[in-house]
Parts: sequence; structure tokens; C-alpha cells
Amino acid sequence: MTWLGDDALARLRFAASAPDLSGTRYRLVEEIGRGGVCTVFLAEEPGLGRRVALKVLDVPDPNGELAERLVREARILATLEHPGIAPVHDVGRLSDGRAFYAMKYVAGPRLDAFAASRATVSDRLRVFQRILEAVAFAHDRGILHRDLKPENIIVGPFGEVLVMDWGLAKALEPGAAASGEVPSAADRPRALRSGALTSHGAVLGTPGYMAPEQARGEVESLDERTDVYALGALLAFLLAGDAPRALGAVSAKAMAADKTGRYPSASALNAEIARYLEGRRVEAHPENPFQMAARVYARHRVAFWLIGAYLLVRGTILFFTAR
Amino acid sequence: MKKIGFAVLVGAILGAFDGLTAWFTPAVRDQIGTIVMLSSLKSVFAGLLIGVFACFVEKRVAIAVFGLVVGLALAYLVAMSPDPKTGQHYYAQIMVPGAIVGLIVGYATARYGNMLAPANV
Repeated sequence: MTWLGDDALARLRFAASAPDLSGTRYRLVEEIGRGGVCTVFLAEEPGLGRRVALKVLDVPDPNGELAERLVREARILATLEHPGIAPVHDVGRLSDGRAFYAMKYVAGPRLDAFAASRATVSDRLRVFQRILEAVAFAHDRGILHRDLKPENIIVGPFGEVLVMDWGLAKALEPGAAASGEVPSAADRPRALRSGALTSHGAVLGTPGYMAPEQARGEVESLDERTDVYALGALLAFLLAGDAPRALGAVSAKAMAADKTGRYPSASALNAEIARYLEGRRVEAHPENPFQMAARVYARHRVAFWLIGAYLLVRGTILFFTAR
Repeated sequence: MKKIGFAVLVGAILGAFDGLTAWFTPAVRDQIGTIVMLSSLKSVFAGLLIGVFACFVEKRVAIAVFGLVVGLALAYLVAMSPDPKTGQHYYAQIMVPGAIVGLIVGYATARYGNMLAPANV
């Protein structure tokens, strides 16, 4: 009798659970991720010679609610054309009736792997700014992500940052994402209203990254500041203990329990990070005169040294000529 | 144009300050007005050259080094004229600080020459 090796067993398991892509224009390559209700596969699209990521529903869905949610996620993504958000190429159903959508395949480590690297604080903040830009764009289009966490961010090898998994995304205007139409900023109410798929009391999100109002299931009161809370948690995660005080204060403000104490938007948080990177005063962190002097010195260090060198030379010359 | 204006302004201020330090040298104190005026003119001219250079070159180090060279060269031209009373040349006393002033003007132009709004320090 011959025993099957681990590799052979894994291949058999994959073959047994792999979706049947006949009837689609894709050819299965491998499984690359698994979530609560969906599995993500790497597939090839022979006609265009490109690789795509296929997100396929893989749990029983008797009343079709999950399939509706997946299609809705694809429609939301289709409205968000931004370098920081993976574009959707296609949406449809497999031969067995399961819903799927195809999106750009992005290879790269997740944010948690990036955070474990030796990246400097500045590099981490620049990655964080790319996240903020993508989320701010989505907010401007009337979409909340509601599940921002390190596992849902990919940092590409060329510095590109993509916010993934918009499965819990919510339109600020009910019906906007479902129809694919996003209201203009002027017409759109900024508070979230109850949508078709998220009822009051439903708690969706990830502990540690969920704003208190989201954890309480107060769906109607969610707005941009709900994502700002998660962004604050992401910032704290990225800096992992060695955060300068000013950045700690920024993170704390973004994660204020009362949402009125948070930054009003991802753009406002981005502006605060930009101020920090430029060596300017951070609004969340009141400074004493010594801290202010240290920051101003750090910002203009070369200028201070040049002026010091001039004064030293001038003083030395005067000292010797006066003798 | 903004960079040129900035460089000329910084040059004028630093040149005047550099000239005023001659007050601490009793031998030339009676010529302080002329020294301040010439020092300012020299630095304004240096600022003009540095500002024009900065319009075509982005690299901060290159602009700072150009400032150093221009400051040194102009200071050398000034130091070539001897003291009318003693006939002595003050090469080191003029050229070393002049070069550093040029370096400061170059660096400041590269670093701060594009500022549009007052900085939030």
C-alpha cells in the first residue's frame, strides 16, 4: 500500500473543494485566501492573458442574502476607481449557482507583515497616508468600509497600497451602492441610514478596530468617523509601541470613544499626519515650550547648524583680530 | 521668480548682518557704513545668482554648494582690495564668512524658497 504525501493530499483537497469555473472565462490556479463566507482564488483569464482574484461564495445561502451581499460589494467596488482600491473586472454566477466576482490580483504582503518589517516611522506613515487617501475617496463617494484592519490592507512591492475586502462596506445613502449610483457630495446626507442588508442591532466588524457605536450595533449613527476610529487603530498597530508622543495623541484622538471627539474625516486625519511628517505642530498634541523648541530645531536642524557655523567662524575671527 | 526674490532678500539681510560685524573690529569701525553697503550689495548679487540657479536646479545640495562657490568667489573679489590705511588684505576674515553666508543663502533658497504660506511652526 502507498501512503499519500502531504502535497498530494493537499492537491486532492483542493480539487474536491475547487469551484467549477466551466461556463466562465477563467481558469483556476490556486486558493489564495479564505474568509468567513467567501474564498478567494487566483485564476487566469486566458483571453487577456492576465491573472485575477476570484472571490467566490462558499457557504450555503438558501435565501440568497449572502449572494446579494457579494454582488453588492462588487457594485460598490465598481464605483470606487482609485489606485488604492482593487478594481472589479466582472461579476457573475458559477455553474453551481454560487455568486462570484473577479478583481485585480494584487501580490504583496498584508499590512501586518509590513508592520513586522524594519520600515521606519516615516515609511509606515506614508503607507498609512495611502490608506487614508483610499478611504477618504470612498467616503467622498458615499461609502464606508466598516472593516478596516491590517488583514485587509495589502502593501505591494513598489509601494502601492490597496484597501481590500469591502464586504461590509455600506453606502451612506441607502440604495446608492446597490444601484451602482453614488450620490453627489452635495445631495448626500452624511449619516448612515439603515440599508437593505444591515439592520439595526446587527454587529459587523472586527473587535479592536470597531468603533464603539459600531460594536453597539447602532447602524443608523455610523458615519465617516466610524472608519476614522478603525484608522486610528490601524495607526496604533503600524507604530506598535514605539510611537512618538505626537502620533500617539493622533491615534488616541482618532479612537475617541465619543465620535464627536474624533477627526471629522479621513482627510482631516491625513492632514494631521502630513503636519507631523513636515515637522509642524500636530493639533492633537498640545506642546510645552521645550517640546516646541525641540520640534522646531528638528525641523530646521541644518539651518540652525549653518547659522551656528557662521557665528562660530565670525566669533573666532573677531577673537583673533581683537588680540 | 519667488525663489529669486527670496534669495535676494535673504542675501540682503545676511549681507547687512555680516557687514555689521565689522563694528567689532576697531580698525575698520569708521568705515562701517561703506562695509555694510558693499557687503549687502555683494550678498544681494549672490542671492540673485543663487535664485536664478535654483529656478533651474531642484537638488538642494547642488543649490547649497552653488551658493558656497558664489559666496566664496564674490568674497574673494572683495578681499582682493587691500585696506586703504594699512594696505593689508583680509582674505580669511572676508572669504570664510562670505562663503558660509553664500552656503546659507543657497540652502535657505532650496529649503524655504518655495514656501507659499506662513509655516505652522
